[in-house]
Amino acid sequence: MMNVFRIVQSLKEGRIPPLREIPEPLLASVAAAASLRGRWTPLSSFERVLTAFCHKEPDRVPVTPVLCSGSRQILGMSFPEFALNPEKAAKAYEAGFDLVGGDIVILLLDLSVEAADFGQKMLYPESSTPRPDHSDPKIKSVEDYAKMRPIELARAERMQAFVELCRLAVRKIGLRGVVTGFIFGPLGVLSMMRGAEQLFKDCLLHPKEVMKASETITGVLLEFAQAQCETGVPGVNIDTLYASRTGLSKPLWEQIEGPFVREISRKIKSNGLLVGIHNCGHDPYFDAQIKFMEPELISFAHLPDDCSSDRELKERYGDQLTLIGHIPTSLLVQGSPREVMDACARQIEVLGKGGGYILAPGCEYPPNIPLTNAFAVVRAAERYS
Amino acid sequence: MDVTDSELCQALEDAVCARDAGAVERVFASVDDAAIRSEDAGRALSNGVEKVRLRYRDGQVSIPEFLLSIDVFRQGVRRLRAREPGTPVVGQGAGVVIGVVEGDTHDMGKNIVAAVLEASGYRVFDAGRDVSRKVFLDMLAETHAPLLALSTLMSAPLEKMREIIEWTRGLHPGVKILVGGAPLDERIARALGADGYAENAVAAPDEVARLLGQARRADEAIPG
Repeated sequence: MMNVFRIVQSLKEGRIPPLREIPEPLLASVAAAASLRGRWTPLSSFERVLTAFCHKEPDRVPVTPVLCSGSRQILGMSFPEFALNPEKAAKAYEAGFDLVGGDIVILLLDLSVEAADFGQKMLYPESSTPRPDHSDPKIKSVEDYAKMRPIELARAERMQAFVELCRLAVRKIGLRGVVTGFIFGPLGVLSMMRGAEQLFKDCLLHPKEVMKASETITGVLLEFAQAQCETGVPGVNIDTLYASRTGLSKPLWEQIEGPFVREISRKIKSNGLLVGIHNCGHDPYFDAQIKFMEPELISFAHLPDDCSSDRELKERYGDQLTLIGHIPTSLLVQGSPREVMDACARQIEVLGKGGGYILAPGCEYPPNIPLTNAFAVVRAAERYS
Repeated sequence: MDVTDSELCQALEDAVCARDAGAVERVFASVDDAAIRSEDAGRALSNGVEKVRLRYRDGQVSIPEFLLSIDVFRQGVRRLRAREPGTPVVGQGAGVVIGVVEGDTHDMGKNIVAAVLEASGYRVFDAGRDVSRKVFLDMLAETHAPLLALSTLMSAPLEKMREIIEWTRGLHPGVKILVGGAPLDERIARALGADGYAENAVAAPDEVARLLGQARRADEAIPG
């Protein structure tokens, strides 16, 4: 049933309403009207995303440069300032949105946020992304999985900083763009505390221990998800990197992480919000992730394991999902703006038909390279749709 | 025990493929040291890695399984080296200095590639992760390795990678340089000044062989 109060309240506060609270036929009607209007006049970012999300063609393909810590360059900010100070991070995100443009702002501080709060010792280099101190992993042995204890979200500094970033970014961006939250899945969090290599082996040799720790972590991630949902973001992304050939086999991922990310997804949906998946691994398992998380959107870098071309991807998954991607990082690093725009044009042509597509890099915009190619991605969406 | 050298070797190869560390121990425990030649045993262990590499290429095994096979391989090699210190076991071919460049600690891919190269016959000098330019250059000077293999999973350390390549060109002009990692492709490898690029452990042995201008081992044609 439609929660009219929440919808009106969100709009009154200048926020995008929780879309799952709106009945699908109504949403589809609004999208159809926007699609029609988009033939003559430019749509707002929200209208554009909504239209594409409802698998109608907007005025042009929505776009996000996935400009995260790269936006700190605009304000001359260091990595630690961006990662540890939510006010500064929010300013950087707003600066990135205002300068580079785009329709969606995907919030992410770094992939160590959750692990740091679980007690993983961290390194915060001035000129690179924060990372765990792998010389001192929190989980040193298989026995340490059982020693994982829940933490109080209220005292989890980095997760609280991220929640605050969500709140501030929603306030700053308002209805001008769609701001989304982010959660690293429990296996991702564990990999930050154990090291990916050891974790992978543990998944095969000691699955029960890994799952026990995943259960503990997921309990906290559910609270983290709830806290993000209450900031006004209309959607939250779950990063399930290891549901790919870069990670575990499909059956092993379904056994070990699938049930936990299902819970996180349900928590997000119970708030009326959209669930997105981010997976920049090779040959991601779209089918398995859909089975467990029933996402509305998938952001990806590489074609899924059951598709060999963009065209096949669109045919197989285009009806049930909004696809987000998938300009290669390597092209952004080394390609000229012209080459980036050409790649964007090719993807728009195949994936943009009939809506259900958002142009984006396959992963976070590389944080230390010039922003030129972020502009190129946004410009391509404007020019080639 | 009434088993032939070839049966023991087959058991070692199978142990690597089956990720069965216990089986390696059982093989060594079942015979006295003279019953199996170290060179043959080393080759058997390497054959196991090669088979697993091909199975990974074909999607029959996943990375965790590959990693466990490599552990069994390393365990077997350690066992052989312990019983005959100084005897060539595996990896006595051309030297390869390998490491993850400064600013990055993701070393799983590097570890797999290092093991695969060792099993392919190369003498691997593993510099580790988050490795500075100086350490790489010192290792090249000490080992006289003709090939340097650099990796990173992140885009931020690419500039460091470029620096290492430039300095290597200056100080060790004969050294071939191979790069790999998520933000790279052939084109970026060229732009950074590298001689070659390997997307993963499947491609690495062939690319190293190409760069060194040598044929791969004669026994490489192992059925998957």
